[in-house]
Amino acid sequence: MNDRRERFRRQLAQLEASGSPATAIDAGLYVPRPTSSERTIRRIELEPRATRVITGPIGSGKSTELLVIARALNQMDDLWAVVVDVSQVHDLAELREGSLIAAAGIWLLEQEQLDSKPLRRLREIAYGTLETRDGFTGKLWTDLSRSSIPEPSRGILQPPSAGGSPAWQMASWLEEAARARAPRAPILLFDSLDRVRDSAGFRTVLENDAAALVGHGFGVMLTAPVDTVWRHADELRSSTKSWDTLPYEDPRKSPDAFGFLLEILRRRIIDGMISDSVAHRLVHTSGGILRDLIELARNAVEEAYMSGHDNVTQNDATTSIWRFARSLSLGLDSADMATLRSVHESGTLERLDEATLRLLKSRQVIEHYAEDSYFEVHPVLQPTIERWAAAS
Amino acid sequence: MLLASVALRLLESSGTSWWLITVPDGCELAVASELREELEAQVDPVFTWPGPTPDAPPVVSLFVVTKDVLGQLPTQLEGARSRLAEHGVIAFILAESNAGTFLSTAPHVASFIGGKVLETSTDDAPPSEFIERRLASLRSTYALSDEQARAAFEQDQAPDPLDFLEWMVLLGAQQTASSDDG
Repeated sequence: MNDRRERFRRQLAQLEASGSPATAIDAGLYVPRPTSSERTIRRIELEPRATRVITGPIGSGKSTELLVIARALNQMDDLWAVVVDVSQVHDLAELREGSLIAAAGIWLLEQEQLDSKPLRRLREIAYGTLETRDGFTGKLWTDLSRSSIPEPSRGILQPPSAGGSPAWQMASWLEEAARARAPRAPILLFDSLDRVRDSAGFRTVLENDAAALVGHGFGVMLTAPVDTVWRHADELRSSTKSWDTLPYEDPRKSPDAFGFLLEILRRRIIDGMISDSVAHRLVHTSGGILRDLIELARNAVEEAYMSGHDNVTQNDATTSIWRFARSLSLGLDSADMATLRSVHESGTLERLDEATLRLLKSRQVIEHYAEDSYFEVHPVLQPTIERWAAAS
Repeated sequence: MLLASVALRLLESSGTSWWLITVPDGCELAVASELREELEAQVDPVFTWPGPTPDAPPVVSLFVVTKDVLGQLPTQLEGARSRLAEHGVIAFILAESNAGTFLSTAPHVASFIGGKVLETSTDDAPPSEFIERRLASLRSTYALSDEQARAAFEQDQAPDPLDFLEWMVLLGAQQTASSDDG
C-alpha cells in the first residue's frame, strides 16, 4: 500500500469523532477534564443508592464521561457498574414507565451475557409479542421505515400485580438478577437519553423507573435531554440527588481549558502531522466543543491529503474552518443572523425561545460557564457574522 | 463538485464518517443513483435508502432525504444514531434548500457531520441555471465578488482551493454560454 496514504489513514483513524468512547479510552486518548468526573465518582462511592443526572450540550463528552465513571466504579470492591445505551434497544420517542428497566434487563441479558430467568421474563415483558430481531442490519434499516418501527414498549404495560406499579415489579426482577451476578451494589448508567425530545417521557422514567430502581438497591445515573441544559431542569431536579452539567470549556478564556483541549488533540497526532501552531489554531476555533475540535482536525488532515501535502498546513486548517463555517451556516435566515450578531457583540442572549434554543442546540451559539454563564457565536462563524454586519 | 470527486472523498474517509451532500432541488434520486454507480465501481456493498435491506453491513450508505421524509427522518436518525455509528461511511443526499431544516431538526446528527458538507450537481439541471445558482452560492458563502475571488485564486490565497477552482471554471463556462447566445 502507498506509504503516504497509509500514514494519512492512520492519522484519520485517530481522529474519529464519532468513534466508540471505549475505543478512545482504551487507546489512551482520554484526557481528564478540568472540571473532573472525580467528584461524581466520589459522590457515588459515598452514596451509591441515588438518582443522579448528567446533562450537557451536544458534543460535550457525556458518553465518554459515563464510561470513565463506570470503569472507575468497577475498580471498587463493593460496586459494579454498567453503561446501558438505551437507544440501542429502545425507540427513544416511546419512553414510558418501565422502559429504562426493560432496557437495562435486555442490556444485561444480551450485551453483558447475564442469562437468568428474571431477565428473560423482563425481555418478554419488554418486547411483548415481538420475537428476536432479524439481524442487526435488518433491524436498523427497517427501523427507519415508519411502518415497521418496532413497538417494544407496548408489551411493558401489563396489569400491575398486587403490591406495586409495573416499574416496581420489573425493578424487583432486575434486583434478583443483579444479586445473582455479584454481591455488590449495582450502578446503572443510562446513556443516549440526551437525544430524547419528549421531556414528559424523560420525566416519566425519571420519576418511575429511576425511583423504583433506587428503591431496589440500585444506583442510577442518566443523561438528560439536551433541552434540560436550558429549560425544564428546575422541574426535574427534585427527583434527583445530584444534577451536573458538562459544559463546553472555553479555550480562549481559560488556560486550563486550552491545555485540556490541546492535550486531547496532541494525543491523537501521529508523526508530527499537525504542528503546534495549527493545533493551537484549531483549539481556539473549536469553541471548546470536543467533537468539533476532532472534526476540524480530521477535515484539515483530509484537506492536506487531497492537496498533496505531507503534513497539515495553515491553508489546510483554513479550508477545514471554512467548510465547517459553511455547514453551520446552512439554513440561517436573516432573523438568525441578527440574533448571532447581537450575541457576538454583547456576549449575552437576550431571550430563550424556540429560535434561540435551536441555535444553542445546533452549536451556532455556545454557552460557557465561568463565575456566570456567557455566550459566544461559534468561532468558525464569527468572521461570517462580522462580514454580514459590515455589509448590513 | 463532480460526483467522481464526491465518491473519492467518501471512499478516502476511513472508519465511521458522516457526510451531507447537497444537490439541486428535485435531483436527490438522480444524484444518489449516479453516486451509487461511482461507488460500486470500487466497493461493495453500497446501500441506498430507501431501498432493500442489505445482506451484509454496507461499506457506504446513501440516505436520500426528500421533502416528504424531512418531517420524520431526522428524528428517527437521532434515535438510531448509536446504531448508525457502527456502519461505516454514511452520506445524506438532499436539496440545499432542505439542508438547514435537516441539520437543525437532527442536531446530534449535525454534530457528527461537522464540516463534511459537499455540493454537487447532476447533468439533469439546465447548465446555465446551474451555473448561476452555483455562482450565487459561492459569492454568498465567501462574501466575495467574482473579481475578488479571481484575485484570491490567482494569488494562491483561496480559502478553499477546490471551491475556487470550480468558481473559475464556472465563470469561464458562463462566459462561453454568453458568447454562444450571441
